Amino acid sequence: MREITLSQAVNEAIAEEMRRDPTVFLLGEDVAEAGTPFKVLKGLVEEFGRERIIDTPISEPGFTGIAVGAAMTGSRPIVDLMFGDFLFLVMDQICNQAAKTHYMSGGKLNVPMVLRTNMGATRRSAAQHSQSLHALVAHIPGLKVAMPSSAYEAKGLMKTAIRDNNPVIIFEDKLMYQEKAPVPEEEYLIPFGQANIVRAGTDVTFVATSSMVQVAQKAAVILSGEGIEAEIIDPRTIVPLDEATILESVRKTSRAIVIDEGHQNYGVTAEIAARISEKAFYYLDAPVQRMGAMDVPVPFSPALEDLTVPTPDGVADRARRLVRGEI
Amino acid sequence: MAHDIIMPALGMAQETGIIVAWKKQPGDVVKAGDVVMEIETDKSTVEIEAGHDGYLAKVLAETGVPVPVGQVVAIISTDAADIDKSAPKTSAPAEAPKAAAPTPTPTPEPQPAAAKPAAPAVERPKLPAATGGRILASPKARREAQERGIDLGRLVRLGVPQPIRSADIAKAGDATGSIARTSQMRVTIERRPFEKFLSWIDSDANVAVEATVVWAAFAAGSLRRALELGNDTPLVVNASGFAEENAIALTNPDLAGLRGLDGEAAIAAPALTVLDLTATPLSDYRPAGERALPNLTIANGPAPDYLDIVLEFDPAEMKPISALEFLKDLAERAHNPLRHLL
Repeated sequence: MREITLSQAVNEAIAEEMRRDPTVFLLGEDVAEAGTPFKVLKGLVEEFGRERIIDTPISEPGFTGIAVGAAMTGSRPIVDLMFGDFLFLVMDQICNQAAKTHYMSGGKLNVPMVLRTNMGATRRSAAQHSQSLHALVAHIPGLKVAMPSSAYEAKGLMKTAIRDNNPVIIFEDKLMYQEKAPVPEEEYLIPFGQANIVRAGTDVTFVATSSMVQVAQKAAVILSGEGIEAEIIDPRTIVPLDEATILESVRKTSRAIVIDEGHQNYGVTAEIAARISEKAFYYLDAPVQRMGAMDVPVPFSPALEDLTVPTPDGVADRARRLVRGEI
Repeated sequence: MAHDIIMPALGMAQETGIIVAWKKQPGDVVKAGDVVMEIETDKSTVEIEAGHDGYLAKVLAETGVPVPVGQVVAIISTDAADIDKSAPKTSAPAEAPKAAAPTPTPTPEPQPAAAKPAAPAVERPKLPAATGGRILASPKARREAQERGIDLGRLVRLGVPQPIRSADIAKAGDATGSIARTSQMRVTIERRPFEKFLSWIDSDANVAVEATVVWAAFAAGSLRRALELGNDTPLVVNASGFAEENAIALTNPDLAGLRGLDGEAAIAAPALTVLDLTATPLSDYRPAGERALPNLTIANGPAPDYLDIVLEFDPAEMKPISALEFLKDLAERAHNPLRHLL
């Protein structure tokens, strides 16, 4: 199978859906001329023109609000939010408007929009351009949240998101844009709420999102050399969450570590760990572990920044102690 | 004229209050404005006044225990005849509310005029002392132990470190899920000498005594010898035939003599239980549930002239060598019963 980068996968997904459905259009900062700072959208403006790939002024609340309105009136907009950190600017448009319009209109209005943005630290971008803020929107009923862990997931989830009749936020890890993965030529969709069992194992379950799936995979290789077999579950969408697959795995391994790059406090790791404790309690042989980003602003110092996110060695160490009964 | 003092509600959501200290004792003369007690809620500590002139006639609640709001905690009476200085009953502590339960109980302040301030104010239900409180085990281990009927306390006594994990339960149980937590020893003896002895005491000694009780007396003697217990150590044996609900407890039956073998109601933790199945065709019988150990079962043997005696015991609590001594001594007694009388 051919291998393409995550960046190309997103580009393909958007291009395919724009060809398929004329109501799909994209707007954001530096999306047309520059093709985004990460060059994800390169070439799209040439194919679809400035009517459908729209460069906006630097006003996130403005263009996100436009998209919400456009979605309510029959279009399928894709909002490009250059950095996930800018979510704070569009909380009202996303959480108060997009998330609630279907409900408050008694079902008369849909908001079929996609907001694609990014997450991930260790790019030396400092505290205001390195955050992983998916927990913020995952908290709000009415929003779906997808977190692709590879180019394959990025394409399949983006296509599903564009076709969904509800607002979907997709978080791409900006460190993974240039990473390649096998992606089929033929069309495919990845349904929301369906986790992927990345690796089968018997001793401990890693529930990992986005780039943390790779961290978990590297940890699993280390552990396998020591006779500890980790099972890795990638939820792919945290809203809706495929609880059944996670619980089934934990019932089998009786140990779980939830790994996510958002801050650990009140975060995605906490939510998933709580559900495991609630619903697989009598199968647990050790306390459920959370591994999130350190609860500090992401440091600009590279040496310090690297310490704030879960690493393969850190995950392996935690798993080892869990299996040995030291935790 | 008597007036109730109730546990007051000092906050909107308050369900209970704790009496920190009584400032007056039963029999004391009180004025309406006198402070009789100090109440602690989750928010504050407040002094409560008598409200009426008279005697503090009776105290109905203890210090240090959550008392539901509205419950009468004391009675003020103008009549000295109402004075009752007996301690409040311990049997009516408030049901601890959900929110208040985990809060550590404040140490009750010494009661100013109490005769014995050192006496503990409250008798609280405690976890079995043998386990030293709650045993730490993973949820999975706890569930598996329950499913397999494994007593976690036994694992702790055997030295399994806490928290107990699933693997510890797996080690404790064999492949079938039953567990080898008890040891078993069996000895087969001739039936005739014991039966001759029974008919002898019936006819010649003219003592009507049941075989089960005689077995209990023999077993007690053997156990005392095997464990090297002196005659001053009381030894209680629960003995029964097939119907265990008819079990009786015999204290020191080995020292009582055949005429003094009177049973009382069976007790919870005897030194030994004796199950006599010789009146039934059964060779073994294991009622459901945890069986008190050590347990001695006497049953008809495979050949008509023999009896099977099976001793079940917990190796953590009885050494196999002692069990062997016990059975050896018992077999000898059964073979030569007159020896027992000497």
